[in-house]
Amino acid sequence: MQTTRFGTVAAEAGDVIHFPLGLPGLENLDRWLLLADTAGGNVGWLQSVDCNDIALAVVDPCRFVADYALHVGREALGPVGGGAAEDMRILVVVSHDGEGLTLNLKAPLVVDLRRRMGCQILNQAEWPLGYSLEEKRVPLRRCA
Amino acid sequence: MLVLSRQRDESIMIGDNIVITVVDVRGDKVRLGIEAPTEIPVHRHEVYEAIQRDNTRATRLQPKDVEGLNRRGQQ
Repeated sequence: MQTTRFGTVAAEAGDVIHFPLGLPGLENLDRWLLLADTAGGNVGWLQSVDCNDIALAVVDPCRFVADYALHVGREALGPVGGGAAEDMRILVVVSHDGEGLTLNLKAPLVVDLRRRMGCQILNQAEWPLGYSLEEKRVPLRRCA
Repeated sequence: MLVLSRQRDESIMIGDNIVITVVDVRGDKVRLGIEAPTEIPVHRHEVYEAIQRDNTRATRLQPKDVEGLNRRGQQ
């Protein structure tokens, strides 16, 4: 398929990950491809199959937030929760807040790689929606 | 918007498989019970909207915008 970010991407029907409810803000897009970073880096891309210019950068949250954990009841995953836990991956969407990149730790993506299904759900534990990845800077005081 | 008045323990049916019950009313806070099939997600409105906005902002990112992340993180 053609994509605006990655040019032509080769994929089979079995590669498609089905998001039954789409994602908030992208509710009508239920077919996605998970493109791994070929250079072995941290960032993957969730590419819409139906809109070639829509893609989301995603990362494994544990690589950036040491104690990140998802607390959710299996029923909250809906049809996505029917598979084995070891087939499931947790990814978070990379966004930006005008100052820098952020991670949505409040509503991670859960993807069952074997059954090829995914959803975006609320973490029942308290985590920020716009976790800043900017190096924290100490504000400088103005001298008189 | 359809506006209905309900007292504690009274319910509203939406379609034929969603029931909303007023579980408790205390001051200006209402506790609502929601029965719905699991395939229908239920969210606090402002939380859902915030996630929508974040996803929309996220779709504007291009690979060059996240290049710096590949060098970071605990591997």
